[in-house]
Order: sequence, then structure tokens, then C-alpha cells
Amino acid sequence: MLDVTGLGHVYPDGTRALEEVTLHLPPGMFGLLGPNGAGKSTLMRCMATLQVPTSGRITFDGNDVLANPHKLRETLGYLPQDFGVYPRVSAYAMLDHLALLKGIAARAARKDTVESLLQQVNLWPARHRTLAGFSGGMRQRFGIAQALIGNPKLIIVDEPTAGLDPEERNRFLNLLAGISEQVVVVLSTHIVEDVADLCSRMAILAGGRIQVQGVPAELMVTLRGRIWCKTIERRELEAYQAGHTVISQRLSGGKIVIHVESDQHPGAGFAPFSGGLEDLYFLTLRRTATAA
Amino acid sequence: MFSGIARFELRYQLTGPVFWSAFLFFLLLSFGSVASPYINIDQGGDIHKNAPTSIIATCFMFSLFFVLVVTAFAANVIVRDQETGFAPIIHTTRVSRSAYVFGRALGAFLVSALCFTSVPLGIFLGTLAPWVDPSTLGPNHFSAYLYAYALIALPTLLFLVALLASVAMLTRTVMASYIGALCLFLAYLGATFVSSQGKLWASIYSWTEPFGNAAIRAATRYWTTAESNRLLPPFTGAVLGNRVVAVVAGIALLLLARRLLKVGPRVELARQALAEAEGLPAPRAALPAGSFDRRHARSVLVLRTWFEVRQVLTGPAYLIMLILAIILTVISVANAGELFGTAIYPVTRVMISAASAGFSLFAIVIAIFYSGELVWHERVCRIDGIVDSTPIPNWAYVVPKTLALAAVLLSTLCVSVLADLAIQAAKGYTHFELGKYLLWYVLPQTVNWLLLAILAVFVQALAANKYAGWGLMLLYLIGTLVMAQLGLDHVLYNFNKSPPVPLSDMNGEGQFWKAWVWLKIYWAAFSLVLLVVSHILWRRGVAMSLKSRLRSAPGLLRGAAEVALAVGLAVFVASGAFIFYNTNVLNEYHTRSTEEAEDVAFERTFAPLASQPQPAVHAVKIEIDLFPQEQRFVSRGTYELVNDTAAPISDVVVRFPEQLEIQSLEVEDAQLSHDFRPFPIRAYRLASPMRAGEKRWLSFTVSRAPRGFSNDGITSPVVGNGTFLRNAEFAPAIGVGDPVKMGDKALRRKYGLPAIARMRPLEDAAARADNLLHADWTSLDITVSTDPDQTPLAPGDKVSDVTTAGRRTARFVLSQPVLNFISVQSARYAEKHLAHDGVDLAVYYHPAHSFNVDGMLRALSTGLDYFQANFGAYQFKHVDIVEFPAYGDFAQSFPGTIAYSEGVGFIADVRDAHRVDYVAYVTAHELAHQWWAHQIIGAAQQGATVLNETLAQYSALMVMEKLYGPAQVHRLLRYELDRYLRKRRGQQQPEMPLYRVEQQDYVHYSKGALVMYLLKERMGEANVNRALRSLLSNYRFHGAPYPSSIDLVAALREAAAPRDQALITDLFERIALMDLRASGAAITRRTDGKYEVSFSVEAHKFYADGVGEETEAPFSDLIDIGAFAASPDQPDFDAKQVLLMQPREIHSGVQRIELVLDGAPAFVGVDPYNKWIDRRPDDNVVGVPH
Repeated sequence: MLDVTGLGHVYPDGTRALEEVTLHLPPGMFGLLGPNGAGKSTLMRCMATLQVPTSGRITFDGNDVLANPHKLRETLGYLPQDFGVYPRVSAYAMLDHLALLKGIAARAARKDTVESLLQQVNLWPARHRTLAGFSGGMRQRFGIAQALIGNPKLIIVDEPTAGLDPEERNRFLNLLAGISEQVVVVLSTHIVEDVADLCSRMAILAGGRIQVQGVPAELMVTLRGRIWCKTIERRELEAYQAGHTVISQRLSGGKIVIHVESDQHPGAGFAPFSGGLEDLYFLTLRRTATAA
Repeated sequence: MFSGIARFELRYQLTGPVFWSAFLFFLLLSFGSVASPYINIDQGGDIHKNAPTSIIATCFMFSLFFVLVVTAFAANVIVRDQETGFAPIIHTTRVSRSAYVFGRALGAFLVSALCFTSVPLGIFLGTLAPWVDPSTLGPNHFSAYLYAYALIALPTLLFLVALLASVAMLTRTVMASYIGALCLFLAYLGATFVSSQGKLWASIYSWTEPFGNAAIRAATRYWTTAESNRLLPPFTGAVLGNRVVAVVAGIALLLLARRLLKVGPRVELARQALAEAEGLPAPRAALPAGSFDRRHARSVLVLRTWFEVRQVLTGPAYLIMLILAIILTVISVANAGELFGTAIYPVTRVMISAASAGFSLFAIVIAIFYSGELVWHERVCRIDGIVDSTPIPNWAYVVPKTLALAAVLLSTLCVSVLADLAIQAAKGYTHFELGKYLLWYVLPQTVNWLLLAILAVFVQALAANKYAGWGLMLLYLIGTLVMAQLGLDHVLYNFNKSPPVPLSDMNGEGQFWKAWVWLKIYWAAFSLVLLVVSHILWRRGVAMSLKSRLRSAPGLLRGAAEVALAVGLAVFVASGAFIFYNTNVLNEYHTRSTEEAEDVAFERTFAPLASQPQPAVHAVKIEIDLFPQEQRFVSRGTYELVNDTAAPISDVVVRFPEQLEIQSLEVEDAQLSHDFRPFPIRAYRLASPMRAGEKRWLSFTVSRAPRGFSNDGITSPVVGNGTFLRNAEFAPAIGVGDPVKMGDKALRRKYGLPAIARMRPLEDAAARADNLLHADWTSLDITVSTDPDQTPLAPGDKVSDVTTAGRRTARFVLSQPVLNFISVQSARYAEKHLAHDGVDLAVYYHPAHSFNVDGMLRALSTGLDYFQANFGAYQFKHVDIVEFPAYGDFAQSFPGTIAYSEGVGFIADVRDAHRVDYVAYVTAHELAHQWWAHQIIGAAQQGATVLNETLAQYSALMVMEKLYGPAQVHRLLRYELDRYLRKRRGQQQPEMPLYRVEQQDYVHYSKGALVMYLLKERMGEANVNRALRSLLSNYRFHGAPYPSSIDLVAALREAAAPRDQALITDLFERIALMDLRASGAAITRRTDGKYEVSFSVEAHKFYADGVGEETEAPFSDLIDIGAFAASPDQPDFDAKQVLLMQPREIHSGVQRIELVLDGAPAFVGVDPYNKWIDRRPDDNVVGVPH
């Protein structure tokens, strides 16, 4: 469905945001994982017709998106990473207006769309309040509602869960998960769980390049038997970092749990760990960092 | 703590956009006030643009607009905490209430003060601009800038900050501060009005008016040019008092605000309940998909426009703008058309003209501001990512935003119409003409502003950011001013420009609208192209440079866009070609330099011929056919030429009006010897020279028809209803006339032309061979034909008036000599006649203008009686007052006929008996010209206008005295005194003594009226009239040598007593000014019940030279001393309140006057009615303390 080929983008100040990005996205949820500044938003904007990359191609369903962005916009739902709202406009009026822009000209059809979506994202009780007064979670739910208008075939959501509390995040992800399997959904995030919980396919973007892409479960197979964990004292951390490939660390009960990558057993006290997506992610980032 | 808060505020505001944009705006504005003639803070004439009073006036004018900036600072300083939610943090700190209030207010004051430095700085920079005419500038005095800024502007700013910050503190909303600013404006306007209602009010006003302007104006009102250029207004009296009041009031307001300030959270109105679970719709299985057809496009256009309009109209800036619109309307319309303090009936035409003028710059400012707001709205709201990725075409941004901008502009238009209607209603004028408002105002301005909106949106669409777009539009605005200044005024390259469409109640929009329509088609086509370009270059998504947008633009130029572009370009080119054909081929277009070159060529060609003796015209016979609907005329005529000179004449020079077709011209016994083409002048060589007294005839046929339209819109002097032609427009004249067309000294130097005197000197005896009008005494036979529904009128006794074959033809004949100075008029008139003493008095007027017709007839009959009794017989059998459209605002006397503009008296509202009935005044003045111009005409030299204008003024004053009594005359003379003193202050050329006046209207009208009235009071009416009668009998219908002002002075001297001779010298032959002052009145009651009143009179007399440098001269003469029961300045003052009025000998210096009266006076004074020319007329009367 969505094919990105050899995409590269250099900003006027010389920053290389994307380099040779090639992705193939079939219908279903696609997770784009990467740290802040990896080029995720640039890539998402390119796919959402809001930015013209300096090189490369994007096609959707056979349509050359860069040559004919308007055609993609007719089937696009886009939720930017960070967006504002018009002042003095209620959620209902704004959705209604966006529905109009997205081709729902008939008043009745617009009413159906807006009411249905408001309910779906659980904003019905707040529909007459101005958007400017919404909390972050409500605003994100409004964002997803507008992205769903008009049965889009491509939905791009850029870091939708940043800043949401766990409950809000759950509700949001549920919404995304409910979207038809026939649709390409691109979800960019720096939160590993988002991808792990939802996505049938994924890629890790770091330093402007795609480092890894594939089906999460298949990718994790490569980690089997190579991740080890150990709980250590805080003062020991430096020593372990020097001696091992420490891919992650987290505090636990005043001590530190470290994950280490190693083909062999790394030594006393290490236990084998069936690595998760998080380990894959951190490992990839670590490799990118060392390569750079 | 306190200074820390202030410092923080200052730093914070200095980094904000308001400070810098306001700074730049006012810098440009004040720079322009010096460096551009189009931003004009009028001080008049020779007062330097950087004279102290000019700097102060400019600072005042801009401080009015600066109120909005102060509001922004003051409101932000206070309300910011509330809006950002920072208030709880602030209010829980240990900041004391005083430190908070005063610190924040001080911060706002400092930043306002800093921002306002842009005004003096801009003026200073303006004086350095190399293109400014150096004669309009004086040396830069640092002290003047300091005075204007520190002593005048700073106290104003302090007061404003205190007031607006207090409002913000108490209401804690930005909006309330702006409403506060509005109330301040309205109060200011109201107070300005009240202050004109009497001296006490004026005095209170000058002490309390927060801008200090009234006090400054009062202190400098009658300063001469020399004084204005040199002196700082004294910082004493009302000026000092006013500034102290402003500062004290400001501090008091802040103290009050400190007491009343509440610190808790603002109680919000209870919001709508959150839970509205009812009516929960069932979820849909599948949502409808988008479809993108015509219907969608239509809905997007309509609803998106509506959405944008709503966004704009509900925004806070919009309210500010409406406030400004109302203020502007009221300022520009409230006193429109006022003359001599007398209002007019606020007819729609005047309302519209005044409002349009007031709004022209305002519309551009709105367009600049809102185009930025609208085009960048999505980006500012950060919703651009969502909207830009929706499948709407680019025009769905461009068109709705343009329409929303137009809607903003239009709503201000509607507001101004409402304000106009309200003003009309408030003045009791209920003839509301909504149709005219629509057709003459709303419709044309809608088109104008829509096109302006398109340009503004286009500029913003291309600009890199909002500020760049604003900057570009500002450049456009400055560019239009610069272009106009350079004389590059062709309509084809000035965006949205069109020839003016003058309005008239008689003639509507005439034919002027046609050129307007063509130009609007032309610019609309251009705007369509701009729209298409905006469409294909619209910025969508991020980081879209103009270059990358240009790359993808061709792809967007498809379908309707392509067609629109092609149509736009085609119409633009085609209509442009048509307009060019009209303005440059059918008509001549002159740039400033070609015009100057032509004037120079004219003078070089004809100056040598100007002194060549020419025959006089002794009989005129003309037939003129007017075709009002086609705006053309044909005129045929014959002149009888007579050699009035002593020498033979061998060449006759004939000059024609511009733009005439000369069908034929024949001079008896002569051959064309030179055709001075392109100048419409021809020379004929006589086969045998004309001996002295010999006659020849000349005959001609000329015509004029409109040739399309010209760049300035003028097509033809013949109009649909209300044609007014002078013979200089339809008939040839003899001789080359005045060869000098370039009067400006600097230009003459530039082109190497010799310096010229404005008029020939009084001592030049040769000048007495020609008269002021350059017109000979002639007999007259004129036949006018016109459309059958119009009345043809011309000077002379009507001998026939027939309508045949669809033409109405009237013939007018005069066998006695009249000046060859003829008018021809034709319109659909109503007429009213009054037979009086064998003379037919008539007013021909527009049927809707019947207000003052009876008043005019009364003035005519009273005038006729007085003039016949005192000066001599009236020479015609009728007096016709004939109305003409307001294309000119004047009245003019022709033989037996007075052409009278609809703009000058027909709509005056003279119902208030305490106001000056200037309709009677003007009517009597014009009637008097039948004696003082049409019986005796002065020689073409200095002082000539004394014989017609000054004597007509005197005659009119006498009629006013007969009609209304002396009180009305005193009121009138106060206006004349004010006008004389004000205009001599703003004069371009040196002032002349009255008997040498060089057509300076403030001398021959205003000073002339004062001089003659004082003389009449001193010599007695009978003696003055005796002198005038003898002058008239000596020179009645007299040819060369024509009389001069010396003859008038001699006649007056003969009739005057010896003690009045010195006064005549001062009044006519000198520029003499008095300074009379009364003070220190005291009263005691005597035992016999009478009152002893004493007061001091200080008197000084000055002789001034042409530029107003004065030297004191000893004075001793009789001057009126008066005692009154009420102030003689009261509008309802009358003779009953005069307790005593007698002349006393007054001499230079201080003297004590003692009076014994039966009643206790409230006021006493010296020259209380201001009969003497007194530079400070307000201090002649003093209150008596009891």
C-alpha cells in the first residue's frame, strides 16, 4: 500500500533529517519507533504531504504522493505530533468544519460523522466546550477523531501518546486498534510499549535512517539467548558499563537492574532474559550510536 | 521590590512585538509628517515643520492614536497574570499591593514613554530627509523636542497609563481596557464640543484636557509665523496647570486602584454543565467517505468563508477596530460642512464625502493588519498540520480569507453608515437616504476594499512570515504616497486608483462614475490574476520556500485556475488599453515635469507679447447651445472690437479656453499670421491697422464635447443637471492674458525664469490701464438653449424664452455696459420670486434645497434697500441667485446674477438665532458686488481687491446689522478676527497693509471687514457711506484708468474728521495690532445706592512687518469701555444686559478706569466687542468679584 523509497531530506541549514529511508507498509498498524530527533516527524510530514523531501519517492496505492499530494489527502487522516486549535470554537463545530473539508458536504452525513466520532472518542459530553479549554488527553482524542473522518485509507499519527496518563493512553490505543485492518496506520512513537502492544509491523528510525524493520515477533527472535539481566548496586554501574554491552538500566528497589547483550553468558549473577521489544530498541539505538 | 517589578516589566515589554511594531509604526508616521506631504499635521503656510509648535502639534496628534498602544501595554501588564494563569503565584508572593500596582504601572509607563520617543525621533529624522524642501524647515532646536516630549507628552502618557491600568486592575480583562480607551475618546470628543460653548467651558477644558493640546493652542493661537518658528509656548498658566492636573490625576487614579484592587481569582461565569450524556447517538458502523464534487466545492466555499468571518468577528482585535471606526466617523463627520460656527443640514452627500475621506487610510491599515492575521491564522493556532493535510484546494484558503477580510472592512463601512445615520438623527435631520448610502458609499467602497483585500492577502501569501507581509504592505502604502509626491499619478499603474467621483445633490454622481467603473474593471481583472497567483503559490505544510512553491505552481494551474488567469489577463490588458486610449490619446496626460515644461514654454513664448496693446471688446453677442445629457456645447458669437488705446493696432491676438474645438474664427480685415499650436492662441495681422477709436468685428464658432475620460476624471463642464459655465470656458478672449503660469519661486529659479511680483505695485500708474478681472465694459446679447426640462439662465434681461423642437431657448440682452464676465447656467430648478421695489428678486434652486430660499430673498431685499439708499441705484431689473453643484464651494457674482454653490449656503442650518446666519451674509456680500465690482472695478495692481471684496464685506455687515442687530455682527466679526489672526499666522507670502493687499483673502475679507466696521463706528455710518457714494459716482462704469485703493482712502479721508486721520493710516496703510487687556476689577456700593466700579486697562499698539516682526508704537485713542450684567460672550447675550457702553480715551500702558453705575455689573471690559484688531481678544473682559 504505502511505499517509501530512498527518501532523503536535508534542511536548508544542512541538517540531514532523513537518509535513504525505504519502507514498505501493508495494511495494518505500522509502528515507527525512534528517539526524539531521529527524523520521525519529518518522515511523517513527508508522508502526510506537508513537506517535500529533497530526494526519494512516496507512493500510496500506486499514486505518486509527491507529484500529486492532493489525491492522497482525499484518503488521509493525519494527527500531528503537536497541534493547536482555533480559538472560540467548540469540539463539535471544529469536527463539523473538518468533516466538511474532508469531503463530507451533506449536512446529514456530517452530523452522523461528527456525532459518531464524538461518541467513539468519548467526547460527547464535552462537545460544546471550546477546544482551547480541553485537557491534553481530551485534545488527543479530538485529534484522533478528526483523523478518522471520512474513512481514510491512510492514517498517520505522530507521537499520539506523549503526555497522556496511562488510562488516557490505553483508551487512545484501544481506539487505534479498533480501526479496520484494511487501513494503513502509521504510528510514530518513542514509547516502546505503544508498538509492542499494537503493531503488526514496525521499524526503528535513528539518525535519519531505518535501522531495523519487520514484524516485531520475528525481530525479537534474533535476540533469543543474547540478553542477560542482573541486579547490581548503583556504585557498580560504571564497572559493568566498561566491561559489558549494557543496553538498558532501570532502578528497582534502590538497586539497578541492567540488561546486557552477549552471545555467551556474561558472567556470575547474570540470568538469561527473554528479551522484549524494549531490548531490541535500546540495542539498535546503541548500535547506531556506536556506528556514528 | 517596587523598582524591581518596574524593571522586569520594562524588560519584558521591550522583547514583545507590540513595542517594536508600535515604535516602527509611529517612527514612520512621524517621519512622514515631515518628509511626506501626505501626512500633514497642518500648521499652515510658513510655519516650519520642525518649529516648536509643529513638533508639539505632531506629538499631540500621534498621542491620540498612541492611546491604543498605551492600552495594550497597560492592559498586558495587569491582565497578563490572569491570562497566563500566573496570577495565583504572583498573589501568594510577598509582593505588597503598592509595589505591585505602582511597579507594574511604572513599568507600563516607562515602556510607553520609551516607545513614544519614536515620534520626536521620527520628526527629527524627517528633517534630515534630503528631498524635503529646505524652506519648510528651520533649525532643529533640541529644546523644542525636549519640551514636546518631556513637558507635554510624558504627563499625558502618565495619565493614560494610570487610567488604563486602573481599569485593567479593577476589571481584569483586556477588553475592558479597550472599552476604557473608547470612553476616553468619546469623553474627549464630548468635552471638545462642550468647550466650544463658552469661555468658562473653554477655560475649564484647557486646564483639564488630558493631552494638553487645548492649553497649548490657547497660548499660541495668534502667534505670528516668526513667533511660532522661534518660541516655545510659555510653560506657565493653563499649560503648566494642565500638565500638573494630568500628573496628579494619574497618581490619584493609581492610589484609588490600589485601594480597590482585589486579589482573589476572578469569578468566572458558571460554565455550561459538563455532563450532557442525554441525546447520545448510537455509534455508526461505518462512517461516510468523502466525496469531492462540485457540491463539496460549493459547500467548502460558503462554509469556510463563514467560518473565517466568524473567527475574525469574534476576535478581540475586531472590537478595537470597530471602536476606531466609530471614532473616525464621528471625528470626520460630526462637524462636516460647518462654517462660521453654523452647522449644515447633514445631507447624505456631505456625510458620505466626509466619512469616505476619514476612512481611506484606515481601510488600508485594517487590510494590512487583518491580512496578516487571516493568512497566518492556521499557523498561529498551530492547526496548520491538520488543515493543510485535508483534501481542500488552495483556493479554499485564498477566497474565504479574502472574503473574510472584505467582511471586516465592510462591517466597518456599515458601522460608519449607522454612525452617520445616528448623527443625522441627532441633528434632527430625518431624511434618511439609504439608497444613496448604498449606491454612493457602500457599493463603491465594497469594490475598493475587496480589491484591497485581495492585494493584502496576495502579499501575505507570498511573504516569508506575517511581519514580512506587514512590512511589504507598509512599503506599498509608503510607495503610493511617494508616487503621488513624485507626480506619478496615472491611474493605470496606481493599484486600485480611479478618477474621483464628486457627489452633488443636484447632479448625483454625474457621468463621473463611468471612468470609475472602467478603472474598477481594470483593477478587478488584475486582482483576479493576483487571486490565481495566491492560489497556485499558497503555502501548505512546513518549510515551503517561495522557490519550492514556484516549482510546483505550474502543476496547480489547471482547469478553473487556468481559465481565471487567462480571463484576468485578457480583461486586464483589454480594459487597460481602453483606459489608456481615454486618458492619453483622447485626453492629454501630463506628468508633473511635462506640465512644468509646458508652463515654462508658455511663459517664454507669450511674455514678450503680453504688453502688446490690444483692442477692447465693446459688444458681445453669443449663442450657446447646451446638451446636458451629452455634456457638450456649441457656442457661436461675435465681438465688436474697439481700439481704446491712443496708438494704432496692427495685430490682434485671440486666446481660447483649453480643450475647445475651434470650428471657425474670423477677424474683420485680418489674416491669420501665427497659430501658436499646441497653445490655443492665434495671432491675426490686420490688413490696415486699427486707428484709435476704430471698430472691427470678430466672429467665432467653438464647441466642446467630452472625449472619453481623463486621468483626473474630468470630462466636460457641461453636466446632466446643474451646468455652470463662465465665458472663460466657452468664448475666446483678446490678448495672451497672463503669461505667468508658474508661481512657485523655487521652480522659477530652477527653470531660469525671472522673479516676479505677485501684483503690480500701487505706484505703477501704467497698471491702471487694466482692471482686476481683465474684462472690458461691454453690451451683452446672449442666447442659451438647453434641454426642454431645464431652465437656461445668463446675465441680462430675458427678452424671449421659447421651447420648440425639443429645445428651450432663452435670450438675454443688456444694452448698458457690463463687465465681460458672464455665466451660463442650466438645470432643473425650482424657482421663487419676490418683486421688490421694481426689481425681480429670484432664487433658482434644487427642489430639495428649499431650506434657506426665503432667507436669501430677505437678505436680497434688505440689501437692495440699503445699497440703493446709501450707495446708488441698482443697474439691473432683476437679481437671480442660481444654484450649482458642489463641484466648487463658493458663490460668485455676475451681472445681475449670482452663481451660488449648493455646498455653501443652501443647506446651512440657520435656525439657531444665536448662530451666524452666513447665508444672509454671503448673499448680501454677493449682492454688494453688483455695486462693488459690477459698477466700480479696481485697477490690476496692489489693493485692487479692497474695492470689491472689502467694500462688499462692509456692505454685507451693514445688511447683517439691519437684519439681526449689532450682536450678530459682533459675533461675525469675532470669526473674521479669528480668521485674520490665524491665517496671517499661516501665510505663504508676506502680509501687506490693507491698501496694498495682493489678493490675500484673510486681508481683504477678514481684516477688511474689521477695518471697515471700526471705521464706521468711529466716523459714523453716514460719513462712510458718503465717502463710498462719492467714490462710486466718480468711477461708476469707468474704463481705464481704473480706480485704485488710493482713491478709496482719499474719499474716506475727505469724509473723516481730523482726529480719525491717524486711524485711517493705521487701518489701511499699516499693519497695526492692538493688545488690550482688562484686569483687577473692584466694586463698592455707595451710600446713594449706586456702584463704583474700577478696573485696570493695559493697552499696547504694535506695528508689524510682513512676516510679523512687531515694534511697539505709542497709542492714544478712544476705545469703548463696557459694563455688563452677563458675559458678552454668552450665546444669548443681548442689549438688555449692557449697563454701560461709552468710548474713553485709552493710552499705551496701564490705566485705571472708574465707572459709576446704577446696577452692579458682572463683567466689565475694554473694547468688549473686539472691534479693534487685538491679538489677544479673549482678555478684554474681566469678571467683577462680588
